Amino acid sequence: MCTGKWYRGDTIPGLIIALFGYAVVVYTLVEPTFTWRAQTSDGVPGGGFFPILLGVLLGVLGTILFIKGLLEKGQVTYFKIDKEVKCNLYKLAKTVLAIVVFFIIWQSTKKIFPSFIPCIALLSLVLNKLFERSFKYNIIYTAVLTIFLYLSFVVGFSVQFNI
Amino acid sequence: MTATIFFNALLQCLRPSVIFFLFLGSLIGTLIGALPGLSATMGIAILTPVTFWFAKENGFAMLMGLWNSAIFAGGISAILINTPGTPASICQSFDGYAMYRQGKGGLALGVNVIYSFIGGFLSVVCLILFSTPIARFTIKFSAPEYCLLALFGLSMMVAISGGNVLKGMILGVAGILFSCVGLDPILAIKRFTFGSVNLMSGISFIPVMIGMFGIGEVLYQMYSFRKAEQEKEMAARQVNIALGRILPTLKEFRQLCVPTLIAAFEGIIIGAIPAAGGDVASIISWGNGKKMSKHPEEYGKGSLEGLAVSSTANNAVIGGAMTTMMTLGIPGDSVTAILIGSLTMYGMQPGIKMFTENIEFTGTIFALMLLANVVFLFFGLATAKVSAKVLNVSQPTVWTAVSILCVVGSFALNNSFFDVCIMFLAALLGFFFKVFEFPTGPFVLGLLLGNMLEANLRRALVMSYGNWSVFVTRPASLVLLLLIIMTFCWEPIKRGVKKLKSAKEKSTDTVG
Repeated sequence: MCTGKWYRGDTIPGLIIALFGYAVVVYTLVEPTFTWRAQTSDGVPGGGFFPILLGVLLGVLGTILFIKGLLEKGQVTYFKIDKEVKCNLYKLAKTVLAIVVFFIIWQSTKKIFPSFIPCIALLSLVLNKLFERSFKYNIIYTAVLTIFLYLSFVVGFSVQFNI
Repeated sequence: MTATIFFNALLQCLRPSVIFFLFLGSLIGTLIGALPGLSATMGIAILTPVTFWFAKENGFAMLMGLWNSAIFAGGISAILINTPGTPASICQSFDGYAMYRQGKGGLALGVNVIYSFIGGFLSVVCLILFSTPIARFTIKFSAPEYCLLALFGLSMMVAISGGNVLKGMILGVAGILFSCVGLDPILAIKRFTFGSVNLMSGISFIPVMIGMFGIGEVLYQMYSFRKAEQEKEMAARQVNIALGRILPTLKEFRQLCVPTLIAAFEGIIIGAIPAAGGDVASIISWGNGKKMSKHPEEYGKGSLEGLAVSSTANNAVIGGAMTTMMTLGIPGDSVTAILIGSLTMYGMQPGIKMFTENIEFTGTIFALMLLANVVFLFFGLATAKVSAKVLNVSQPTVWTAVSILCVVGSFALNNSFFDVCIMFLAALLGFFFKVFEFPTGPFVLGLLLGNMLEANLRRALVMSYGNWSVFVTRPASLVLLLLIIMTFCWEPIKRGVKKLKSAKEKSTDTVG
């Protein structure tokens, strides 16, 4: 069924890809070291040859995808959002946020104390809570996983997580 | 490779430490393969950084054990819950699940193990026999051939992008573009580094693979999670139908000889084609097996032959994919793409050098492949009935472990937080690719082969003083160029012939 919504389907991905491709071309042309031909020997491509070629190709292919998306007039949709998917997306966003927060805490505290293992334990607790696991299960799972990672990576492989 | 080198390598591989890691890899591979949603690629991507702490024989033993076992174990969930554990085991669910419902689950599991072993074993024998002549042939290759070889690998990947040729091309080009980040391979000019020292060595391939096939897959599974379906699946896992005998009778074994031998060779050839993996081999062999069978009506309804054929084909792919990877440096599938990264980390370069400078280690890899098949045969048969228990693990349990292992693994590669960031960005990108139905394969291949393509193209032009005819005047490069053109033209030609045929039939009908 045609919904007439032009922005559905491949339209926006096509537009983003096309803009990205053309942006690469512009950046390459502006940068003086990225020449089409090498200045050292005749007829040989320079550092800008491949990026320009690929940028143009990506731009053209993205434009074709964009036009294809427009012509499909919203008949193809990738995001079919119902109540369950909405809930899933919410959970997904929280997972991504939890990982980002983990990165921030780990990097900002690593010079104060060896924070990686406690941060991993915290991340495991948060993720299991997000995935609706029971409290008892969460504690046991986190303890087992953290001990395993500590023994194998920190003690066994001597990985320096605080660098 | 001489027999002496191979047998020396085989003896080296019989050391307790190597056997231990082979078993460990096999155990992890069985778990990964049996659990729907976890693929051999994901397992190899996550475990590769870990193996750098081991001696290279032990590290590769673990990876080979994991890979071979994961492909066979994909059939366990296909048989017991009608859900393929890996994409390669899709056809095993057609007949395996029907057999299970008929009370022949044990036999289905046994056939899966035995014929996966036969497929894998034959493919390794072919790898041992044919890789050296192929590698010797590549001695004649120079920059133009290597450039076109990389392009051929990419064109194959795009051509089999499952109806998404445009999207496959886009991601292939994007992958090559991302490979341009870092120092220019000829002139050493900084490109797209934006002042970052970390970007000067380019975008690391392994963190990208870990992100795309690890957290990226987890995010997609979270997005497409359906509680009702999950509950139905978990309920199906609890059903305890009698499994019965495991081993096929001698008569059954004799009947299966010819079709499975054909499937094995189909699998090996498909595996050798860049980017065509176990799923393609399994589907083609199952279809051909049905056409040639004396009982095609049984296919899809619990045919022992159908299950044996698909089990043979998907493991036979491994040897074929390894042949292309070891001799030409072109990955046969996504797992061999990671293995190229792994070999590079050990200071080795797939291609002719593996058969000259690193011949001993090449022998070790071949021996490990052979032993991995033997290990999973015994392991699989011994645990066939117990393996059903693995399926009781739910998806969210796996999500937390995979997410955390991806972070740890990508950091442990180089003790670099930058790699973790690359992994996480690749995960987000991988998620969006999956949602918008972009095939991730061409992107990964583009990133891996981009440097080979660019460096050799420009080297070829330096050699010929900018004369592009260098790509058509050399016989090997001309053949490769024609193959690339064929790859792109094959689909339109096929469609055109089909249209012509149907138009002809229509006009004959009208006249009639």
